[in-house]
Amino acid sequence: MASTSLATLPSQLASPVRLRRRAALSSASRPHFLLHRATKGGSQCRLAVTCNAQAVAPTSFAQGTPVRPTSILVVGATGTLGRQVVRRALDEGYDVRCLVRPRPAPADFLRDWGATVVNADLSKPETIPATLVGIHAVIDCATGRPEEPIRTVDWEGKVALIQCAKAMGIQKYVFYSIHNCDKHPEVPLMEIKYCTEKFIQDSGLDYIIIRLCGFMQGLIGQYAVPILEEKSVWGTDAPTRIAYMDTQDVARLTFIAMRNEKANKKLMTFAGPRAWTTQEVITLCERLAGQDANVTTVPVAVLRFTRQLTRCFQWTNDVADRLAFSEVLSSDTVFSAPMNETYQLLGVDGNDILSLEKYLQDYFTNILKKLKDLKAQSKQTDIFF
Amino acid sequence: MSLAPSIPSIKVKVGAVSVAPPHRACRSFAVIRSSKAEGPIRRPAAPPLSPPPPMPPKTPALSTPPTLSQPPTPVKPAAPPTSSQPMPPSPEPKPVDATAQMRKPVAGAMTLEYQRKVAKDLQEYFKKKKLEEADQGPFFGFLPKNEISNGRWAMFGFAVGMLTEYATGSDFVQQMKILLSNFGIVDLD
Repeated sequence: MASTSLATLPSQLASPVRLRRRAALSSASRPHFLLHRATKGGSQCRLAVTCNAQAVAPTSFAQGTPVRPTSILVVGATGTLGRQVVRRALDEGYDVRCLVRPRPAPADFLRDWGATVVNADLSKPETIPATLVGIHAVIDCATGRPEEPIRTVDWEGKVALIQCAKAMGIQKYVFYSIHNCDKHPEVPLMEIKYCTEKFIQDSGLDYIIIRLCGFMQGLIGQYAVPILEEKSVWGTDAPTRIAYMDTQDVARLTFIAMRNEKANKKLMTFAGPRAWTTQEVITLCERLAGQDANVTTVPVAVLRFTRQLTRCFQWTNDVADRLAFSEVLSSDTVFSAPMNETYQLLGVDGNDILSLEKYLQDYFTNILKKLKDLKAQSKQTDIFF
Repeated sequence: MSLAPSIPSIKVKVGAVSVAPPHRACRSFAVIRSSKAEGPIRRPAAPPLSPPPPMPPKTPALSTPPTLSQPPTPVKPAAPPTSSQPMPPSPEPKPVDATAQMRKPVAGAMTLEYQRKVAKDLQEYFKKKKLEEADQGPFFGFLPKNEISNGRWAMFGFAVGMLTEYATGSDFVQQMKILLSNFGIVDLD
C-alpha cells in the first residue's frame, strides 16, 4: 500500500526535471525524445494508481464520505488577486479554504469573511497534503514574496502542490500565469510560469490555465496615491502597453470558467479592454485627480544596468531576478490579447468588463468624497481608512 | 511491455461501464441530495458575513471599497447564492459519471478517507525526500557544500591575517615567526 503509493511519486517527480531540461534545450529532436519518456512515465503512474485503487476502492466506497464539489482551496489567498477570488467564491456559495503561511500578522479578514484558514507553506512540501483533504478544486494564486527566491515557492512549491493534487484526486486545478510567458525565457519568473504550465498539462489533471496581463489594483498605490499626496511619481519611458484588468473581473470570469465544461483543459488569456502605457496612466490620474503630478522618469537602461550590477553578487541575485522584467519592458510592445473568443467561450458580454477609466474614476470619486467628509487636506501624508 | 497491461485494463473498465451506469446514476443523485442537504447549514452563516468584514491594510483598503459596498446590501448577496445553487448540481453528475466510468481510483479519490490516507503517505514521502536530499553525497570530496565551506574559511583566514597586520604592524613573515616562536618550534628571537 504505502510502497505502491511511494512508487508512483518518484515517477511524477521525474517529469519536472525533464521539463527544465526541455525548457533549456532549443533543439527539436530532444524534446520528442523527452516526450516519449514523459508518456512512459505517465503510463507507469496510471498503472500504479490503478493497482493502488483496486485495493482501496471497496473499503473507500463502503466507508467513504464523498468530497463535496463546492469545496475549494485557494492558495495565496492574501494576495491582490487571491482575496478577490476568496470573496467571489464566498459570495457564490462555495466552501472556501485558504492556504496561508504562518506569519506574525495572521489573515484575520479571511476568517471574518467566513473562509476557513489553514496554515501551510509551499516552501515546506510536507505541510501541503493535509490541507488538500476534502477539497474538490484548487485555485492557485500564490507567488513568492520579493524578499525570497522565486524558485523556492514558484517552482518547487508549485511542483509539490501539483503532485499532491494529482495524487489526492483533485478534480480541477486553476493556475494563473503571465501573458507571453513562453516568449521571454530569459526572465526567471516567466520561464517558471511556462514550465509550470507544461507540468500541469503533462500531469493529467483537469486544469484551467489563465494568463494575466496586469491588475488595476497595483496602479492605485503606484500612481494614484502619490498624485493625491503631491509626491513624486515614478514611471518608466518604456513604450510597453499593458491591458490592465480588475481583479474582481478576473475572479468572476474564473468561476464562470470553472463551471463551464468547454473551458476544461484550456489555456486562456485575460486582458482588459484597452492597453495603456505608463505615461497615459499618469495623465489619466492627473486629469481625474484635478492636479498635476511630479513625474520622475526612470529610463529602462538604468533598470538594465542595475540588473547587471545586482547579478554580480549572490545576495542580490533575487533582486536581479525581479529586475529581469526590464527585458520585458524593452522588448514587448503590447501586453494585451484579443478577448472575443474567450468571451464567447465563457458566454460573457465584453461590455461587463470594467475599464480603467471607470475604475480610476470610481476610485477618485470615493477618495475625494472621503477626504471632503473628513475635512482633510489633500497634502495629508498619513491617510487611514 | 508497459503498453500490454494497460490495454486489457481499459477493456475491463469499458465492460464495467455497460453494466453499472444506472447504479452510478443513483449514486450521483445521492451525492446531489447530500450536497443540497448541507445547503441550509451554510445559509445561516451568510448573514453574519456581511456585518463583520474588517478593514484590510492601507493598499487593499484603497482597492476594496467596491467589495465593501457589497456586504451591506442584503439583496445583492442573496441573488448570487440563488444563481450559484442551480449551477453546481448541473456539472456534478457528468464529472462524477465520467470519473466513475473512466477509472475506479478516481472514484475512490472522491472520498475523504482516501484523501486522508494519500495525504499521510505524501507527508511521509516528502519527509523522506528531504532527508535523502540532506544525506546525498560523501562527506569528503569536491562537493558544492564543501567548496563553499572551504572558500569561507579561506576568506576568514585572509581577513584575520590582514586585520592582524593592520592592528599590530607585523607583516605576514613576522607573524609566521611569532607563531613558530610561541609554539616553541624554532627559536627565532
